Amino acid sequence: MNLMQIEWNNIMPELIIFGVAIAVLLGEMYLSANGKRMLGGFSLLGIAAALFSLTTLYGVEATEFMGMFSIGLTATVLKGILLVTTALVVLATLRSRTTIGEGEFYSMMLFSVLGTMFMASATDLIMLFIALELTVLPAYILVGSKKTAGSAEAALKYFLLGLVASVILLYGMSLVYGLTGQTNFTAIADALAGQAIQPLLLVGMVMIVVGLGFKVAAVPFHFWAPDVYEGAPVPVASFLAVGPKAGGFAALIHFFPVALAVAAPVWAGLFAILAVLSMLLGNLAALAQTQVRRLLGYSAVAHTGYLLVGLAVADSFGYTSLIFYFLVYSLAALGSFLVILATTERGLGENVTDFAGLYKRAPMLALAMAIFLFSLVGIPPFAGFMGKVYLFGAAVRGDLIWLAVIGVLNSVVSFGYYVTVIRQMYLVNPPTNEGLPVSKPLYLSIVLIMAAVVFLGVYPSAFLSIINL
Amino acid sequence: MDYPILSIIVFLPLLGALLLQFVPREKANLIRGIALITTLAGLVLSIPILTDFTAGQSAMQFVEKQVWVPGLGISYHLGLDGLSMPLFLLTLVLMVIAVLASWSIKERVREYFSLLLLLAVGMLGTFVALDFILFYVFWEIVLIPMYFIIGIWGGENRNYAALKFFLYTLAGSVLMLVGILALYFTSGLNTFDMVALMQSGYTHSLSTFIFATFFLGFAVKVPMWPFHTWLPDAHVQAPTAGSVLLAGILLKMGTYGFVRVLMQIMPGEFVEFAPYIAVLAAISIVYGAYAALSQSDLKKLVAYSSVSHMGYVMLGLAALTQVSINGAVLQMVNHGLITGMLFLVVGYIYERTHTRDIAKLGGLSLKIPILGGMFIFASLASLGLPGLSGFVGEFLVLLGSYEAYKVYTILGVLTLALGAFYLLRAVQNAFYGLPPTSMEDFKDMNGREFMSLMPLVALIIVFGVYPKPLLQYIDPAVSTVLQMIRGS
Repeated sequence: MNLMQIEWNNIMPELIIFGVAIAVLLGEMYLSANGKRMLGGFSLLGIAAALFSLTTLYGVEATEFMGMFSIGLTATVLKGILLVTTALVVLATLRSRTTIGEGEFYSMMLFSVLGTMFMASATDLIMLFIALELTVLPAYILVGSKKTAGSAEAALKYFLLGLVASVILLYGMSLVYGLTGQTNFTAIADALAGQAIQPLLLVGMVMIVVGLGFKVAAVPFHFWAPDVYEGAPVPVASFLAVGPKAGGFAALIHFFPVALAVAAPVWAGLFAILAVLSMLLGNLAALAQTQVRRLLGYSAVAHTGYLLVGLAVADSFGYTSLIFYFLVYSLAALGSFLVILATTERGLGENVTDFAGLYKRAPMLALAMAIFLFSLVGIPPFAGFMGKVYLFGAAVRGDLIWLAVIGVLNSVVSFGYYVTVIRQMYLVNPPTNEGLPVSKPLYLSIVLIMAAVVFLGVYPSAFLSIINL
Repeated sequence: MDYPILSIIVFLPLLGALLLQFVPREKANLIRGIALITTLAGLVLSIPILTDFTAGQSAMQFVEKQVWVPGLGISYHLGLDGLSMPLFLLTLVLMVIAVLASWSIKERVREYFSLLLLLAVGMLGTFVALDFILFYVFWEIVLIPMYFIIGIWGGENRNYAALKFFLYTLAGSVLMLVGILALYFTSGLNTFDMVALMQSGYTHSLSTFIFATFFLGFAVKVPMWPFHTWLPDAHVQAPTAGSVLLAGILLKMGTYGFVRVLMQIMPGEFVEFAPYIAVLAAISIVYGAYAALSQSDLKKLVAYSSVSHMGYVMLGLAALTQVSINGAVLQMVNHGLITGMLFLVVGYIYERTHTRDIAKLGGLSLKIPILGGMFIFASLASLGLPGLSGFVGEFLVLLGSYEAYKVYTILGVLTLALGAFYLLRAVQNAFYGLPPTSMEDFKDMNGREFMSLMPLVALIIVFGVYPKPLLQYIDPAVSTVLQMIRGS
């Protein structure tokens, strides 16, 4: 392969993140304690630079590495969402005590982000698999980075289940390769075009659904999610709510519509079933939770269900709606994890009742949390509502009204558990009136997310015009 | 209008609420003052609406239209017609009264008035929104402040009542969202604009489904039997201003939805389903009255009577005659005034006696003659005494409904007698006779309370004697609606 043929600018964001990740890792080894404190800020600058170079790629359609890597609107937008949310996580944790060295923490996060960025651009089975592994391997380390039994258990569970998922995914991929002799998505589609669907292809397809279903925590492959969200260190849990999940959905909306277009009705039906199961089980299980992070873990499962509606529709309106919903979901989910980070840093517990009277102790945190939770339910004027308008609109448009009905009824059910937190924060008196100071970067990050959740609810076109919706 | 008068009035309370955030928490009186000035300003700003509104014009007036989300054809479209204008003004009046009634709130004053003002944004917006998504946004915005108002400042059982209120209305309205989306994607007009959809003569195989989703959303709000069970809980637990606004405005959002959306956008389905709606309305009338009959709690009695009176509104709408619909819309306003006043007085009495149990009350007319007189006045208005506004609306409803639904109308007339019975019995037991010895002396109405009740008394008398000022706006709009119904 001639390196001169590569348009380096097209992979500049990835190169920057890669460079920063390496530099931060080296910094951890060689810098003094004071110098290490700068690593977070440096990571933030690196992400900003990558984001800037990403904006120059807006509107560019190209493929690199002999068709293995492509950039286009959805890839670029997904990377943008990923980088922005990661930047917010980094900003929020600048003053947090990380459970491992700062350099290790940020470089692991950046490597995982790098993997996700490649996933968003992957148009080849091999590229997809490698990118996926790059996404999750640092995540395993991060989850286990706290030396407690809970953290270790979560990491082991995440690792073992992730490993099984990867193996199933790989086996499915090998079946598709065996049938078509191709690894490139469009080449697979060409090879399958005009042929009857073979049973073996369906087996391969189902295995890929299962493998990726694990990654996005769709029921019945969700078992790891609540444990990991509960057991991982809080900063890591907030990252997991956005980063790796973005990769999983990027892979789903790139692989199935392109490579397996011939079998669209089959996988669309599969995703509809997974969507219903995830919504129902996620929401019902969350109703029984009293630990806030576990509650949010199940809520994440339910939201995977909502997102899968976009895939069940199986048209481009569905996919773009999915991306929009992913943005509004990840902002609200990230925001609520950051509020938990802020309270736990001041020694508050993680039970729902530990939030009692938060309105008095930290008015801004309580307001932010309430807004995030209302957005997750889908109450206007917050962003989650507009997300649901688009997502369920896509379902109605695609003759899946029943799916939209199940979806909206689930959002009523979901209020039943989100309200337990809201009730504690506002309707219950605090055990003490002592204030809860929040570090400035964390506060800034939460306020930014809150502003975004309100702004996107009132003026969604700001984002929708970017993805041509 | 050369300035966006509706937007200004709708969002003025939001501005007031934001302003409150800069006032220190302790300055309760300043906070109350700002809230009062905000609501009064809204009322003053609405004067041009009254003077410039052209009665009889079938098109929307004071229209504002901006593109909001171009991709889906969502617009920021506001406007008023003869159906919405009276309700819009009623909201402005009741907001001032609600603020006055809330003076006795002592805890978390700033949060309380901020939420009250946010509630106003949602209520006002619902009546002027002419785009389905915008309508839905305002419709839902109402839920959040009301949840907190009941949940924080409510009575003993507030947690349960607030959650029940939220879940019931949310469950009703989310299905409406699916209906709205289905309407959008099947109409082929690529717009959420209500006026455009009204004129399009929409029909589709999904019509019945869409009708059902809207019906559920509105019926829960009205509430019609059997969707009413949230109402007694919410009303009894809510603080006084919350009950006044619930009864006065929130319930009207439901009936307004029936007129605005179902009758005008899906007239064919409305005609088809009107007999079923009439059955539910008749059941609501009778059930509400019988339930009120067996209440010992004064507030609960008023709450159930509210179910009954809203049943008359629905009966009038379902009868689909010019007279009955006129009566129904008039009754929406009158019910807002009368039931609002009843809840207000009951709230004031409770602040003194700390009980609403009719059995424990007695002789209140001796202790607090003016307040007692106010309750008797509101009761008389509610039971339909000629000369007071409650009579006019229900009379027109019954008159207009007779030809369509003879049996239900006769039931309705008989139930009026029942209404007189339970209200007069409550008056007799709580206000006449000798006071129980356990009751200490109470102060009678103070100036602020008097100020809050006077506008209601005046309007109830004026519209009772001379309803024409209202009917001149309502009647032409009703003709427009009926034209659509006949055209279907």
